[in-house]
Amino acid sequence: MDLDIDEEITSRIGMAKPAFAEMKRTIFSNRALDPDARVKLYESLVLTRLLYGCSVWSDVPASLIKQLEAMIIKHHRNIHNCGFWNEDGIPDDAFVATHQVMPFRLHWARHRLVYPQHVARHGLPVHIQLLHAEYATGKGWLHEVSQELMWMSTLIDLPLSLRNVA
Amino acid sequence: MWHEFWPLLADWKPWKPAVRRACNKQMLQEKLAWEVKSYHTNIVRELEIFGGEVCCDEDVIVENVASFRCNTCTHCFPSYQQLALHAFRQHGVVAQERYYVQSTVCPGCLKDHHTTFRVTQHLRYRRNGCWDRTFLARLPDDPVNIDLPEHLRKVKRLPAIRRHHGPLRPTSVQRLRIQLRQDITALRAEGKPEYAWWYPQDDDPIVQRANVALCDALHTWTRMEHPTEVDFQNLMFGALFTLEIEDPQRCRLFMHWVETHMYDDCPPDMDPDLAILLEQAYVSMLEDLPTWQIRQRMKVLTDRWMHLPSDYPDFGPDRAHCIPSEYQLMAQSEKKRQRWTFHTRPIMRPASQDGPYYIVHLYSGRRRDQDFQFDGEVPRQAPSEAPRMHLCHFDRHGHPPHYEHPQPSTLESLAGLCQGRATDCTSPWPPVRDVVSSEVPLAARRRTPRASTIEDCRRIVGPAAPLSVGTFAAQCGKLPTFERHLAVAVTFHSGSAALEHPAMPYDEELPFIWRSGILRLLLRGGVPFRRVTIQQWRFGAEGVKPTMLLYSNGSLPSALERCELSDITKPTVPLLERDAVGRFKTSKAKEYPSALSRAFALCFSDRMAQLNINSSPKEADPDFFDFVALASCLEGGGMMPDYQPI
Repeated sequence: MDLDIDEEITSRIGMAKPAFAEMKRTIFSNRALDPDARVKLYESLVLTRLLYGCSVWSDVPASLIKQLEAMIIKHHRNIHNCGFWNEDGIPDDAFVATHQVMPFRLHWARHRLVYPQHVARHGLPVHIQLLHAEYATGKGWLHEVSQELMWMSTLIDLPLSLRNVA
Repeated sequence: MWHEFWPLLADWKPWKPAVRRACNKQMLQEKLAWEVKSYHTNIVRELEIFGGEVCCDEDVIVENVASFRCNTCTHCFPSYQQLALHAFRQHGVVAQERYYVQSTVCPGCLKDHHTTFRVTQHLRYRRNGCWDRTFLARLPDDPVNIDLPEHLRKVKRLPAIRRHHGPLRPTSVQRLRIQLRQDITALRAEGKPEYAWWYPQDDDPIVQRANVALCDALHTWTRMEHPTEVDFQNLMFGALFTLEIEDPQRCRLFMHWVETHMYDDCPPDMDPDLAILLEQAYVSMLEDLPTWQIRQRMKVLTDRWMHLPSDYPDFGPDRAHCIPSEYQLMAQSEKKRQRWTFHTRPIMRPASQDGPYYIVHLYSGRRRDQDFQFDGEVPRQAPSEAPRMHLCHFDRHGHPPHYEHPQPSTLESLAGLCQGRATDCTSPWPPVRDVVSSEVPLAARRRTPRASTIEDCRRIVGPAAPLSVGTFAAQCGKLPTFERHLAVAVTFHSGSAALEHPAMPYDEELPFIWRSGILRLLLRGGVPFRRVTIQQWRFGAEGVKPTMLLYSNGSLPSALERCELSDITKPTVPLLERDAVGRFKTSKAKEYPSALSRAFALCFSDRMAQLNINSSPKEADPDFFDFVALASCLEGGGMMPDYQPI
């Protein structure tokens, strides 16, 4: 995984950016469409490319996370026509809160939390053994998923055994 | 744990919706946190407009101190990056990892990373112990630069691969363990089993002889007229030399006697001063014995061996990115706000004599003819000012369909008198209008609290009540902040404001709006805000309804006193549950008593009388119309049903 994840995320960003630019004039900046509809289209046409396979990302550098966050916010600003070009001066946190933009970190957490169910249902025993072996080292994908579970347990009620895992 | 988790997760049907619900909840919480933060920022900014300066006692003026000092010269830099750049440019210092990279293979994990740059990055940023295995384990050498070969230059994804096989270098803890093992082995050999590591047994004749000889020597020493340490050592060595054994064995026998028999052999009537001298004497003698020193060194080594950490120490957290949550920090922020004080107090702007004057009424979704909303109420109290007065009603809870009940936690009524468009002061409406414009769409989506009345709020104690948001900060800080912002804007334009909220509970630990940091700040001396407590039954309410009022620039207590009803008795029956018709008994208590509205009107008309205004009528400020329109605007852009154009 050394430096591999960087290339993976850079390539994902490289796919999502042109996808947004391609459809910017026709869809995302199209005032004839409702902003909510544009956001839905953004999620299905651009975010899917950006987040493809993100369920298994781990050990991502902080700089790339910031880059991803910034890109998503920038795209949403374009969709809502709210940016420096309007001299609105709305900071990112206000924009995110007002327009209920889901940050990348939350998208990522959602994907990573959903994926273990696929592993549980369809994964081979050897896969699970390998995950356990990595988890025993105190790091790795399963370890990060445990942290997400811990976060999830602060928000909704989980069964006792799940909470123990978290 | 995970072994049990997998089957449970595989069978858990609503897992995906549960994850989605958690994400949505997180977003709502963050939005709530942002609202609280932005409202408080707005209030502080409003106070700053009037020259106020809010500070916290923990605030420390952080200067841009150059804290990163160069080791080679005297230069200081504000950041580590600048220092590193300086060190490279001026002193040729490069990353220390480069001195350990002479090939494309990591010396720690033996993986080939294809370039030396990647190996350096790997050693520097990967917390997998490679640097730990390399640093101080091999000698540094000249840095080497190896790049990708020409035919691979455009290949981006080259994972690290294992070309070399063999044992990995030991970690720093493993190295320490090896070193300790070697030291212990050497020391064990030095002490020899028959000397330093000999365990004398009392049934051994040589041990018995030694014990007797040493006991006699001790008695001789204690009987001396002026015993000293030197005498003790002479007598003890004399006794030991009577034994025909090796020197290390003599030392070992003396140690054995000290450890097992010395205190028993002491005479029972020994002088205390002599006992103290004995303690010093035998310790100094032990320190002279090489066998004792060897055993002490062994003790230190075994102690270090026993307390060695794991062979694979924790190399710090991996690149874990916690999901940031401002919501979790809200209680901390509120605690900080509790310590807010005025460094410089805001100054009230003088009242304009020209007007026009405005009365803004914030209410919570119900209207009756005798309420304050009745347009003629205030003009009737102050008829001369009627032509220059503009009345605006703003239903804070009239944002259907998202509200099931009125929100009892918000301030149910705000009536403010203010004047704008004076020549020497700015209008209060633009900043407030900005808040309202951001507030309206937010308010329309806000969740409804579960408690429907003030009594419900009081009765429910727990995370769901009274505001159903469940945190200290949210209970204290969020909902009525807009009203407070408006009240601050009105007050410092020499207007008068009154805000109503249920009275403080007796439990001092219970968070409540009156205990919030921003209200504590406003109620401190030197700021024109005051507080008065009333019981609404005295003004005709069906319930007791203890209420606190925040007011400014007016004589509200005297107005309240004048409007109290005399021929009325205190209700004693609690308004709980439903009546025979099926309506909630509290519904009557929700109605605002007219006498209280009249008291507000009296207070504001008194204030207007104090202002000495001219009689010429004035047009309303255009900003005011924007405010009214925005305040009455629903999320989709439509007007609220009770919108009243001026």
